[in-house]
Amino acid sequence: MIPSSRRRVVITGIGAVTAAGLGVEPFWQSAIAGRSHLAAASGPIAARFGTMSVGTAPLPAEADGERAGAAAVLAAAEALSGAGFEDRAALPRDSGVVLGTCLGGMAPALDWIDAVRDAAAPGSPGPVPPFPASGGLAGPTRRVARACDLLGPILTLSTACSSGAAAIAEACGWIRDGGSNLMLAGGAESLTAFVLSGFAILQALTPGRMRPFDRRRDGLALGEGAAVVVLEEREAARRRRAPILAEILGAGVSSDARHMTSPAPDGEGIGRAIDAALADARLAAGDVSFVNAHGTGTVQNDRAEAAALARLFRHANGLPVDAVKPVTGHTLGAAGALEAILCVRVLGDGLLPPTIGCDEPEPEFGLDVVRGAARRQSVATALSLSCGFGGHNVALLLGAA
Amino acid sequence: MRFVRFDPPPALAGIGLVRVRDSGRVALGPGRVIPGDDAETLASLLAAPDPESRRRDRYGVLALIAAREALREAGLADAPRRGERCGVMIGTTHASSEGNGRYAGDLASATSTLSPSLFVRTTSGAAAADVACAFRMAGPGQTFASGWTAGAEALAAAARAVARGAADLMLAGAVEAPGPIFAHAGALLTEGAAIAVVAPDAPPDRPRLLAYGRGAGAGGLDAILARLAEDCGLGCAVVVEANESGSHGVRRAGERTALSVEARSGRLGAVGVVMGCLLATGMEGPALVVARDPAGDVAALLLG
Repeated sequence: MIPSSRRRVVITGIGAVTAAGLGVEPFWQSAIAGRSHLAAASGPIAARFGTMSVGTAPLPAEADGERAGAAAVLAAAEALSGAGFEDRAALPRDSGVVLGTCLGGMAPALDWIDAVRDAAAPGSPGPVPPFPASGGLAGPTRRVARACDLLGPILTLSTACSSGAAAIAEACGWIRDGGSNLMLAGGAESLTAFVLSGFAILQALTPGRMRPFDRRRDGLALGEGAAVVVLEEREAARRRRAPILAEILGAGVSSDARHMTSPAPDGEGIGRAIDAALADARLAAGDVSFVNAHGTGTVQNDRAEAAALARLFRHANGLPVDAVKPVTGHTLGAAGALEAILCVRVLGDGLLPPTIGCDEPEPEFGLDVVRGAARRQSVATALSLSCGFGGHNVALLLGAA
Repeated sequence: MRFVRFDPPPALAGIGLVRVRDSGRVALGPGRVIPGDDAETLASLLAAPDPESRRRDRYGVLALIAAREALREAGLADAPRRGERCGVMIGTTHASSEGNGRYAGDLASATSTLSPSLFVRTTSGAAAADVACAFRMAGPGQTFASGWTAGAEALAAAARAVARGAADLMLAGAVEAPGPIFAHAGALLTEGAAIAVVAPDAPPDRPRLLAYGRGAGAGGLDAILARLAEDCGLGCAVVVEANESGSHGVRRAGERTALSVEARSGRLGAVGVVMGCLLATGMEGPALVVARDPAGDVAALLLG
């Protein structure tokens, strides 16, 4: 039983790096303007795997090293500055970070694998290089921890495309349990040949436009970047007069326990994550006033999500739903955190971004998809959904400050 | 570093361990070897994973065997389970290095046909998904990829879910499947898996998870024990160093006996801390199992 006096978690800073630009503001402005930053990929990947669009993050020249980590450091800096921590020395001693990633940070490890293979080839007696200290899934997290002088819990989560949302859920647990008063949480991803080829051969990529919840939808486009939020225990944030942007009301995590890549068509697993988040927040379905869907624009994902929403929300036809991935491309491990940030802006600004590419909504879904132009509507409670390979579902409930 | 208590403290109802010895024999737990045909099936699965099978790379197979053993150890092999109240938490350093290496090799060769199912195996959540699918555990599922502390993180996340009442039964532990790529590089890690059943209750001889600490650069053992006392008012009788390297098996730290897991078993990575919990089971008094990553991160679990 959850004690009624439990510690509450608020968001006091947000930061993002996406194809829309450096910072949350260009992402948000593009989202409400319905502007996409995807461009046709060129080079050997496109030549081998066919036409695809990608959302490339415009990292500044001085952002060196592996791209997911570089983007995460920039997003963390923006989030901390917004939360009033320009001076890192002011951070509580036990501040930590949880980052999620699908395959971000792997680029140095993959280069190492290539080097090992070459060194082990017959007739090539070259020395085997040491494993790169910066390589691997934990690389971006460790870069953020070092850049921000964090000495608390430093955790990396990897549940494919729900990693960023899972990281926020895990960080909330740390604050609620008293393990920390301040956690950075988010996700990071970089576009590599490894990732692009994998989604291409899974036939998940659209050769044309991303069209979430449209009857002509035929796949997603990939993007890269990072999104980081500053989470704080509410009373601690109030004491230091921090800017409270939103509250994390609840989080739910579930497994499909069914198939590696195909969601249950009835959205059962997604529905369990939503149920768990509502129970965690002690809210009813009728309390939700906006849904940010995972909305990848694949045939299966959108059908499963729509089924879960129709089943759980009797007011589905009057409950605004949007999918924002066409703005930046699907940023995989960063997406869940980026879309939590979108919800923070929706709650604060009272504007619902349109769903790009949804010109002919799938009639059988019966969803009120926000499309065309941004809709002005006050939102008290927003639900953000994320689903990943392996059937890893995460639902986050965010409330207005 | 800071410690938090689990309230009420969940039990480690059983731990399943699988190691692949140099001989290729599959060893389970301390000294137990899979009997009969079963051993041959599993050993053949481990020796020759089918590239097109979604469930049969070493990362997934090791997790499946350890999970099955854990349920058997807990006396739950045939117990009915309510899927949505059961979950899976896995920790790993490099997930399926075998899958990563093979997919990267195929990608580097312009003439190879790439396998979609092999690509999916390169995502870290694959082992947790294998276990969730095999045992129909549809509750909370996470994969921690933080390095050698990830096994402790998985156990702690499972304990938190049980203590909060969000789950009735969790399979939680770690898998390291370094594969031949890492063997080329001089065996950075030893292959293996260890998974525990975390549940609200268990027979009295099974330990309970009392507290969990996590931090970066937490320093020496004395500093960790001071934090445990300050944050939770708790102490311990035994310290198990899960990732201690060196040739010594036992050393003294003040009045406490410190056991070293890795000195006995090779470099276990994230699996070390779960094996440390197995080693701590049945000891007199509370035991602190400490996991240390080469990057400086430290995680510690107090069992009692």
